[in-house]
Amino acid sequence: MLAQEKTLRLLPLEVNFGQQAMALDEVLLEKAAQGQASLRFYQWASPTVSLGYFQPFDASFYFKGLEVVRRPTGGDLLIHHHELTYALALPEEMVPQKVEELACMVHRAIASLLEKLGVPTGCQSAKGKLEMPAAPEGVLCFLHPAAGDVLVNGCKVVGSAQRRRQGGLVQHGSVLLNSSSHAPWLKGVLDFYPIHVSTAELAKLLSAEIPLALNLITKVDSWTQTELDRAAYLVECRYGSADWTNRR
Amino acid sequence: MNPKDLKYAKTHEWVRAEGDTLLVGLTRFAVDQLTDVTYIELPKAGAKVKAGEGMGEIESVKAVSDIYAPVSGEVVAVNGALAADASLVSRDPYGDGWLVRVRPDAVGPLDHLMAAEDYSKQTEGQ
Repeated sequence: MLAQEKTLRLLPLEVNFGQQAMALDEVLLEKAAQGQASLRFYQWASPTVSLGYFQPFDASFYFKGLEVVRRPTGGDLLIHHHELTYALALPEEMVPQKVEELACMVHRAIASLLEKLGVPTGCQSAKGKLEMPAAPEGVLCFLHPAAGDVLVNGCKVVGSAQRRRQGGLVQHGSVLLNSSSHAPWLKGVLDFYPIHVSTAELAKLLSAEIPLALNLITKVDSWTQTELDRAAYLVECRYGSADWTNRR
Repeated sequence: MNPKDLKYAKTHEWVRAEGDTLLVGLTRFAVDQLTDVTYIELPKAGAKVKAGEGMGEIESVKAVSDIYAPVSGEVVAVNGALAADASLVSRDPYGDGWLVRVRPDAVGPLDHLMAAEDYSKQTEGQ
């Protein structure tokens, strides 16, 4: 648990296109560097490939026809389709120094909620690899569980990545709900346990569970016009630009 | 233990004066916090860097972190060994894992940076 009780701004659940999602997450990072902690949940407007910051663009060639974005965060490729995504941005003074620690804290909170909903979960103990011969080799994040990732029936269903800057960080992550036809090798929570909870309800429940685990008080809020303008600028000059997406 | 002959930035870079250039690396504290380093991107030789601004990026366990320039100047050499093996920065941060060599814009005592004992105080308890 983080030592001091502080306020976490809670933004509404929304549906974003990939470029917009990355831009809004970066806006949260900029706000975190200015001292504002935030949490938001979103879904994806269309099936989207996201590449890790250092990942080569040609990793996306396995998934032709899908929108492709490059994340500001590390890790491997994800297919965002039937999932709930969170973004948590914290000022430096609220961040545990060990990179994995924050991811594990959030993952434990998600696992705890899934357990309450009747889904037995496991936790990846060390960096691993899930064998799936038909899947593209060495590309998909959800076939490479890291320590602390959440497992259901031995499959990774929750994973996260971070971007750290002086002053703060943003951590975003996916809760895989159902398998996507674009990545049929990966199974989601509801494929194993068809619990009756809508995505909006899940987001609402996690909006309570995650802050509780981090000892943060939430304050419901909405985007300011300045933030939306900044996100639009970041879409234009970065996340919507081929120079950014194809850079490696 | 942070070597006493180095100067330190609050953003966890170290600087060693060598002739008219400065060698720059990441501190042991920083690399220990990063754990397994997988990628590192540094400015090219000839690039201008500005004290306090980002000059590179490093990835470890799915986290990408910015690397900041501790001094202003021109990059005159980059540690090419890191391109082949980024983990060198973790194994030997004060030696073979150095990042870049910078010719500073101004010759001076680097007063904006910390001595080893002050840097150690900054990182104590973290």
